Amino acid sequence: MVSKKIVIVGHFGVGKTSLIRRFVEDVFTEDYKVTIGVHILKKTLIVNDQEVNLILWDTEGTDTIEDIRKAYLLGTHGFIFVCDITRPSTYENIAAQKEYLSSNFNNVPILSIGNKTDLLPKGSISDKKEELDFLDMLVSAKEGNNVNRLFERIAKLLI
Amino acid sequence: MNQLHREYRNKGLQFITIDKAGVILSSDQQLIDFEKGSLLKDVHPFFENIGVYFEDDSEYAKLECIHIEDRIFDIDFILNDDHTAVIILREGTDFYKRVQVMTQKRNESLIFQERLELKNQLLKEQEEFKNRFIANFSHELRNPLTLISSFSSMLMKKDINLDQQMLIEAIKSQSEKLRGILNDILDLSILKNSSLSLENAPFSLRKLLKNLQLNYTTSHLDLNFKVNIDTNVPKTIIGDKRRFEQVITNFIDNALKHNKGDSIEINIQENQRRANKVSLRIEVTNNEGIIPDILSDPKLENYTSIGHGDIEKTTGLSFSIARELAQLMDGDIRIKHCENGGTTQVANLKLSFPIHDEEIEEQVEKKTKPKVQLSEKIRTIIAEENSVSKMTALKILVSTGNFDTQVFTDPKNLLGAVENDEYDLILMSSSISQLDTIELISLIKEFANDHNKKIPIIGVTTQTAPEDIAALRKAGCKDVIKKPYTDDELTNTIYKRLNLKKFK
Repeated sequence: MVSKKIVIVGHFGVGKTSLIRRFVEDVFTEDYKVTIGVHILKKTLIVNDQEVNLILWDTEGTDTIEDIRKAYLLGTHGFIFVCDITRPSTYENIAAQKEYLSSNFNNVPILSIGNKTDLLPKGSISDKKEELDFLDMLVSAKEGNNVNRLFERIAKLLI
Repeated sequence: MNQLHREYRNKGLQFITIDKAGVILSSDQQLIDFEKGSLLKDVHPFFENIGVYFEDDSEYAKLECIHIEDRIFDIDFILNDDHTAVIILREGTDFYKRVQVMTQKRNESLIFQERLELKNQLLKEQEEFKNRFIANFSHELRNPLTLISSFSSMLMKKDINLDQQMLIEAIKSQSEKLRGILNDILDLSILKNSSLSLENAPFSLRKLLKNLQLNYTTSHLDLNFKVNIDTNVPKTIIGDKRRFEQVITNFIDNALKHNKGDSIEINIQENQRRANKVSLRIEVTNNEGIIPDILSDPKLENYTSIGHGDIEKTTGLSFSIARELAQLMDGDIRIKHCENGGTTQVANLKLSFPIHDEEIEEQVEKKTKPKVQLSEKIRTIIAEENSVSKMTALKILVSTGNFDTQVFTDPKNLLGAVENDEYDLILMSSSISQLDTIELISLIKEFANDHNKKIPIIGVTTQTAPEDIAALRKAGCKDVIKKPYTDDELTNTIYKRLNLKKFK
């Protein structure tokens, strides 16, 4: 069975931990609890009839990727860049951040996603998707929308 | 290594030795139990990735703040020469839990602030949208209103029968009402934006009230209109005469709207004075008829907000304007219901007065001016692209018999005309072919031949904010006429700004 290290990065409060907990444990809590350092969780997926161990590194929220401790990122197979679609400051510099990751980590796959679609008014998701067309996916850790699809998508990119 | 091991033995450290395959060779079991011979990656997913540190160029790696189960460790990886590695776990749970509490507070506060800023920005954008809407709406209404006001005024001067006169009077009066509402909406929008600054000039309070009394008694012949000004009240007031008058006229109009009796009384008293500041209490009482106390209504916004307001509830609109103006004058307004069934509207306003309080002379313009008859025609350019405005100005000027007019809608033709022909006046609209008026005026000055170099330009605009008017004057307009205007307003302004002797 192959193991793939996926590091979840992004600003604080965007819902990185909630996203992983929704995927691994299928739970969600409204309370915001700051992550310091790194939590590592594991979940096995079957993708294209192949078992993949996803080792998910849930990092502390930072304003820029450069602030993440370098040693955490060694051996990363893929990144998920999470932003909060209700806070523009969390996706303002996304292009530069992705560029930094690509050039420093051998062009490993990066998926950028917008979390918290549950906070949008009903019927406005497609408009938001059009507005934030630089994001690969919009998800909701709270409602679970697109969460499994996100991890399946990155797993497929890695095998 | 053994020395380091001994040194830190009792300091919350654990030493584990592994081989390149991740098999545990030894562990001192100080913090976590690791079974010798088992795979390190089976202990926790963090160690799944430990192989990469064997491959890395660096022989040492430090990973801080790693959560393993419910404890937090700093982890050192040291590569030995024999391709084994030492992993040192350093317990930091208590320390990092304290860091977590501090970071939690900081992040929560930052997110709260960010959300607040976004909310403010959204409100600002909504306000800007509303103002843009009001400006456009006002702009669109001003041209047809100008036509209705001035044409009905022109018709009134013709030889018409009584029936026709009544119909035209009705049109004129309703267009005046619309003009008033339009100005109220714009005023309120400016006031809500706090972008209105009050003027400070001396005026005679008693003369102002006397004029108001005269105006209202002329238009309401059955009305018993009383004005009582306390003798203590200064003769001359320093303030914004127009806005002061607006508060009182809004009160009077409200009173007239709800009045079921036959009398309206204005009382002005002095609340207090300090140095050259005076607080005046202005009461407007109608003897019968209740004015709803919208100020005490929790849904005040329904009456006063342009967004939700019913245009027919103009009591709310004018009252809201009075309230905003009173606040600008450091005062307030109130509504009191009287026992006899009437209502008193009260405004407390803070104003200034001169040290030597004397009645000042104010220039009074004569209301009825004799008809101007000129022997030579005023060669006039009308620079206007709006067909309604064009027709309005043209009809008014032609009807006087004093003007020889030429209309230009294309700036190129206009510039050609001022370069090659001779004119006496330009009536300049606020935009022609989307060219900014100010820019066009500067081009006219550049292109004009010697005769036209000092040609008077009168601006005619739908943009009536004080800063817009000031910009037009600064650009070279001798005067600015605000739309909607009447025929008399247009011709009187022109005659005032021209040397008429030249044409007599």
